[in-house]
Amino acid sequence: MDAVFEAFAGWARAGILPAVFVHPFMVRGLLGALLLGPLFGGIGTVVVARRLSFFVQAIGNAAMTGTALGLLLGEPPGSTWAGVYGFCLASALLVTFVKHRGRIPSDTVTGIFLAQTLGLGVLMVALVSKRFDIHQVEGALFGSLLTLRDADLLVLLVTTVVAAAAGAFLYNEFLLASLSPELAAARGKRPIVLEYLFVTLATAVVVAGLKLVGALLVLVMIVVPAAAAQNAARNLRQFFFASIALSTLAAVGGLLLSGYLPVPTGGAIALVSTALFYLTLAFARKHPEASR
Amino acid sequence: MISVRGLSARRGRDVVLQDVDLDVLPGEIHGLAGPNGAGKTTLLRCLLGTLPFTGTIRLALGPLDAIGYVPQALAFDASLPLSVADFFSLSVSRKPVFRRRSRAASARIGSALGETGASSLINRRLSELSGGELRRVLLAQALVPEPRLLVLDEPASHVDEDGSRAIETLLLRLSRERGVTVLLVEHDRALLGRVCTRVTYLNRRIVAADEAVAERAS
Repeated sequence: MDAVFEAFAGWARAGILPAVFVHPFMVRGLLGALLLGPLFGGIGTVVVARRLSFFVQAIGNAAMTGTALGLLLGEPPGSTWAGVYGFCLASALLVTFVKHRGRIPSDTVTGIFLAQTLGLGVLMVALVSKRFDIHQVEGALFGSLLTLRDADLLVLLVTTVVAAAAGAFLYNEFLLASLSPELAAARGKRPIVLEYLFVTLATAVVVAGLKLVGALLVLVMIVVPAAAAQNAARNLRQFFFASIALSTLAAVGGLLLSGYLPVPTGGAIALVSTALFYLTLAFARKHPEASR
Repeated sequence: MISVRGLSARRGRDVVLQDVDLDVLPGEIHGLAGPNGAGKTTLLRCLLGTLPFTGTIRLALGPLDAIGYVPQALAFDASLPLSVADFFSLSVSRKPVFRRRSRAASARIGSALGETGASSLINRRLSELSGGELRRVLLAQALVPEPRLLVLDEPASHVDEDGSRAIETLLLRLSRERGVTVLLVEHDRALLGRVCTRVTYLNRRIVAADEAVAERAS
């Protein structure tokens, strides 16, 4: 990685890149944003189509609890992977299971689970704050450029490769199963298996992006670019690529903003992302009919 | 083609289907009628494997035989930029919908839509179609690839008289010319009487199998 940092620093000194890229943490942030943008933008289209925005928010919040849990179980600060992945994945699978077992609407199940996770999270953060620097948990909540390390980039890269492979094979099936599980079943697909697969993938993606954008704002990066893309797109192909472009633009724009101003990266990305949403409203088509 | 024995299904504690037997013979158009809440859609969901049940369901289909399915509705938000061509690609193609569609694939979609008089709708958004137009698209989708078994959940609802006649003609042609077996859930008894070989009346249990329709058809 040192050669990469050196190359970027050279370009920054030569004036090709902004001067802030002499710092390795900005280069890491840029690489992270360039991976995160397409990853979140792409998966965001399925999240929005499957109406799972609230679910993604709940997973983001579960990550805060998972971070505290990891610290309590003795994981090193900044690398609470087992706590975060374990807790988020267990929560995601449990919500999906409860959703299928009962007749409670899925948003209600997610809401109940969110309340429970937050309650548990608040308790754990209180416990953790007695033993650890509270900034460790704060970083997980709001995202931080300074705490991003090479290992986090590697996690992001691996997640992006897995998500791209899943997208190449299962994108159509994820969407078809959400439009009509019966139609997907008639086509020989297994809608319930697809739902569990997607929930697992979405959880892995959310957790991979936490270091940069933070638990509270992960929803912004996944849902807002896709919502903005819906305003401008006429078909799913345009929707997919517009979402990726807007998400990447928001990630890189937010990163640059937080490089110049003393603001958390997650907050800056959220502001750029929502600004882009308002801009795309100008393209919004009128929809004469309500949802059918 | 379909053999159902002792089928029971619950929704929560509510018994929606109880001890249902049903036989759909190869090549026939079998109607399934009954009031709202009679369990017709539940039976289809059991048949397609999206709902747990007790009893047995046997489908006499080879590994390459396709099932065409026309759902009663699709679940999506009106803001989703889902075009008719996109919906076709999702349903019939393995190539991800975000990749460019080949001309040949577009031509295939166009000709399938032509079967139900809907080829002009190919680039329209699904959320902007009228109830009748959506039915035509859903029906066209179920014909690709050519099915051995066609299962339709109220295909004539929201459809005007001409549209309803077109569906009848299409079902009769598929059954007679191509030997497609059809299971048709429908409220409209007049329509069932005009196209079906047999009609089964369901109200959580089998109420009656109307053989008279079979005689008229033959």
